[in-house]
Amino acid sequence: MNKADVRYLSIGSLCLLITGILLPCMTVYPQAGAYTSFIKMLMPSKFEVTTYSILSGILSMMKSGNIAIGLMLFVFSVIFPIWKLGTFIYVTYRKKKSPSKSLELAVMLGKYSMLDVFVLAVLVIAIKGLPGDSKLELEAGIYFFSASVLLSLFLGAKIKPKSLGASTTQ
Amino acid sequence: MSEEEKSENNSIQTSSEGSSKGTLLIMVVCVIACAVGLALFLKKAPGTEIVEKPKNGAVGIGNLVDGKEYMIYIRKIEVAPMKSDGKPWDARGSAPDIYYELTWRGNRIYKSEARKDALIANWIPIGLDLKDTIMQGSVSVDQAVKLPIIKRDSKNEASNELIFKVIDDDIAGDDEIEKMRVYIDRLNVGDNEFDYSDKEGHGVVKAIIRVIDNSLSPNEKIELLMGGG
Repeated sequence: MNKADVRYLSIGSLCLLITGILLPCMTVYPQAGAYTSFIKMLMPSKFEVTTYSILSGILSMMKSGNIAIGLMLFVFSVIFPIWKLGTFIYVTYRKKKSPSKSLELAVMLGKYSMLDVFVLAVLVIAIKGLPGDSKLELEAGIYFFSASVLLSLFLGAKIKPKSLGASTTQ
Repeated sequence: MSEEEKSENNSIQTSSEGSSKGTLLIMVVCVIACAVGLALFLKKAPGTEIVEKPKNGAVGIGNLVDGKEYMIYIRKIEVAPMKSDGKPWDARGSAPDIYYELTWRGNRIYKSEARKDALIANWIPIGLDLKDTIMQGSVSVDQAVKLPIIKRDSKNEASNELIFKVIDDDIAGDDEIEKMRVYIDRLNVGDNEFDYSDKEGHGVVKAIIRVIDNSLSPNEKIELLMGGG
């Protein structure tokens, strides 16, 4: 893989990531089993169908008081992947021959981007595990986000910072 | 520059031109997919509607299916600030106590609860009857939703007409605010808005009549009844 490959794949992955973060990724349909209709009458607000994007999910988590978890998710699902891909793109334009430290760091920390997948898996299990036949439908955002994660994992595996320096590739 | 570096740079240049077409294509596909995804999202943006948006029932051609049953009720009504003769609704200066009756095939099939001192009245016709609940131990959704049911029958012209009589509930004697004639074949499933605000002499300024398919499941019916207040 050469510089241009890394650049194109990183740009593609970054586009997918930003789209994946902004687009709705899941819709939750709350249910309460056999009692759904009656509880709906008494507390209709509890049964509102809600659609979340990754960003709106994190923001609503922070608004509801879980600031620490919200911040952690924000850093690992938004900031870190963008920074990592930004670093990959930057390195392809870099003219110095010495290895880029930020590239080394990005590749080294690359395995933590599995957190994205992990976080989503946990979310899906948590919501699917709710009682009362509550339903969760995946939306377009999750596919963009997953594609971006896969592409950036592929890039992370292919890039060898020490041998590459400026040129980056295997 | 050493010979080794030169050869490395050359190899990068060559491979860059040779093998980057595939990755360039992947990038272009990703960018196009993202642009399409975002464009579709932005186009769809301001939320989904719970109720199918109908055409204005007063002028459009309705979409109720022949022979099928529908629940019908006035969801919202707005009355003029005073009677058509310029007199106030109530001698004490308060707004009318609005209720309505629905007549179909020559029979009154529904009478709503009165909304006290209101110029704009809403009805969400769901409620649990405490007496029924205690006596029977449970209440079904059909018992909780008390709404008239109508049917479109294209063979019977007389059954096409619905008369909504909007009335001011008064101790001294009920005053008719407006008699609205609505034709079933012009109604649509969902909300049908009747706007008389640009016409003088009407007691009713605006009315929204909601039509719900009676064959829906109890959950779906309740969702539609609760939606869009």
